[in-house]
Amino acid sequence: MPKKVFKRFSSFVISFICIFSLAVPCLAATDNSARMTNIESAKCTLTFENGNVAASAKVTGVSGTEKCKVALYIQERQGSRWVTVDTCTEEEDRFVVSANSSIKAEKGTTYRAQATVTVWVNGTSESKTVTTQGETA
Amino acid sequence: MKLSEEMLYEHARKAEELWLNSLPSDDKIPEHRFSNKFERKMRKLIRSQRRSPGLNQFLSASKRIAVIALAILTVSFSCLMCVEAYREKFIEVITEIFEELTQFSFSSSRTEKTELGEITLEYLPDGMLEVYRECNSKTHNQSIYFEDIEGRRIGIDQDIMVDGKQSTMILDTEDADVSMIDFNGYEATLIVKGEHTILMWEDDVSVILVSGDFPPDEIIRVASGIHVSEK
Repeated sequence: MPKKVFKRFSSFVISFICIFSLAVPCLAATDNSARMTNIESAKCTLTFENGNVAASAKVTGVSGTEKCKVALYIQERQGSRWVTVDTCTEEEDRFVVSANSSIKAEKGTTYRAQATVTVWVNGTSESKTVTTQGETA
Repeated sequence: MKLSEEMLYEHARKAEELWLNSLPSDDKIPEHRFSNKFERKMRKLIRSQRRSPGLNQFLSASKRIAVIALAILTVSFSCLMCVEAYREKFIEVITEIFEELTQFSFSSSRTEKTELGEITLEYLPDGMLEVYRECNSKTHNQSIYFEDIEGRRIGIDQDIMVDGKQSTMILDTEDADVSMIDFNGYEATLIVKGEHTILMWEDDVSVILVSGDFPPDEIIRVASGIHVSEK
């Protein structure tokens, strides 16, 4: 009897996984609130060089871009949180803008770079956030 | 009257004979038809009895392993719908596909230092003039943009990947035709959205992206003529 119950339960669990593996992409398809209309591409980079952690970010706007802005953050991991330890912001009236920042790296500390990029076209702005994977110094 | 065990023993045999005689003979009893389910169970039971206990245990374990493998495959497939990861040479790429964009995360295990070289081009469409150039030796990346009088742009971006470097990029892939093509022996991603084309590939040391407001053939022609001088 318990074996029969276990078999039924296992069948139910496997069916549940099969159904929801198809349902997730379907649900995702209903959300269209975060389109990339002004931003052509955005990039964020983190690297270690001579005892420093260096970060850079760049955004490129589509044709007709009036202004671009990059807010770059170097963050370090403190427990389960990411804490911003350096900030750099660049804003220019052209289709491409980049920002660069560098601080002394502490050995054993995990860092990541995060950039919030904004592009203005016809007076309307669009923002996206790009974050690198964490890397330990 | 009191019944004793001896009396029961004596009359039980007579009762048995009377009961058996009351039954119809074997040839008059219709043959019982067992259900198909019962027959299958019996055949399965007979098969398992014919096999050695060791073989039965092996078959039982195999079935369990098959069920677990199926469950793992199902879960893996559901994850692969969202995240595709593959390792190619020294540069590791994680591609996350969202509805409105695709995010590429690059990292590398390559320890050999490579300095940024100068990018030269064999081919550019007529009328293109350099409008922006940036070279960042700290983060090992450089970009060049060209533009013509009609406002059409071509951009070239090189990102040298070394051990400890992390790079993340987002590209607009909503309603775009995205395909993988062979480009000079490297697997390249070709993204075409309207008049805009992006070609991105990883060679042995860097990630290179060429984008522009031109058809794929023209962007591939520009990309084919890119040379990076070694330093």
